[in-house]
Amino acid sequence: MPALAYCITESEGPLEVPLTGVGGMAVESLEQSGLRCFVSRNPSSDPMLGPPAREAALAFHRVLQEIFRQTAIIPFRFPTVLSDEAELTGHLNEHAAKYHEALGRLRDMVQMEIHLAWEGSQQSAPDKPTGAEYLKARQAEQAGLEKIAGRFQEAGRSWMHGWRQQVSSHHIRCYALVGRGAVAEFERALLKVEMPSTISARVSGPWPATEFVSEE
Amino acid sequence: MPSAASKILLSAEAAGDEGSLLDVLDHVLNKGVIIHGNLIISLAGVDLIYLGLDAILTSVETALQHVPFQALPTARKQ
Repeated sequence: MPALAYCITESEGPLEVPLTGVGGMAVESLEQSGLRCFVSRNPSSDPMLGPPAREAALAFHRVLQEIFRQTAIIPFRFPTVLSDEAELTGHLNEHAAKYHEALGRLRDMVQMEIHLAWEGSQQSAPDKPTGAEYLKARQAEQAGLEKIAGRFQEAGRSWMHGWRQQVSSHHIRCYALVGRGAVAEFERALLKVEMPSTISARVSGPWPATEFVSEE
Repeated sequence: MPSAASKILLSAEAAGDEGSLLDVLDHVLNKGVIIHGNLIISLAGVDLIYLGLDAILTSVETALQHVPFQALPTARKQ
């Protein structure tokens, strides 16, 4: 029977789990190798039956959030549909050591995210830049974003257990690993960061610490 | 010249807006475990495309932006 996989947790301790998930399907748990995995088994054998995509994704998110509120989770990407339970148990067996290590390390941690982006183009950029001017402008944009990212990192340092950055064109995403109990203090510290008018920052979280599952 | 901290938006302040929704969708679609494997995408019982699971997840993410969930093709392990 196919199954939609939600997330993995440590198997110790009771958890309050939503009764239903995507498409109103029951959320069930499956234990293997000391790990607990939450799934919805689909009795119709058609894993893609369900509500419109956005509602399905949000229902998936609600299941994750309810479990994540109580403990550390390693989520599956939506929609991860396995052809049968053996495929899932095989995956858990194969990666049990890695998941145990990560869930233990991240047990009391959450991920906060800071998205930094330029607001429009820089005023000093010429209308029709040459290739060299374009590259120079991009370099300046990136340097500006990295400087602000550094300010955020410094501001939140006292509450952080890890920091990662992902640079894309015109924006940077920063991931901070923060103790569950320190989110409010962390956010307050970030609000004190001085920002240039050309850059906007959006702080979101707490999220499951997906960027820190691997220690690399 | 530095501006006020109003340029920093906390997700709690933005709860319920389009940005928060995009954050949520971005997370469920782009963050988390990928199970590696090979799949054949079938539609109406006809095998259409053979793909690695990484590729199909990317494909589904894109598809989710444009088509209703129930309209997506089924997938089964080879």
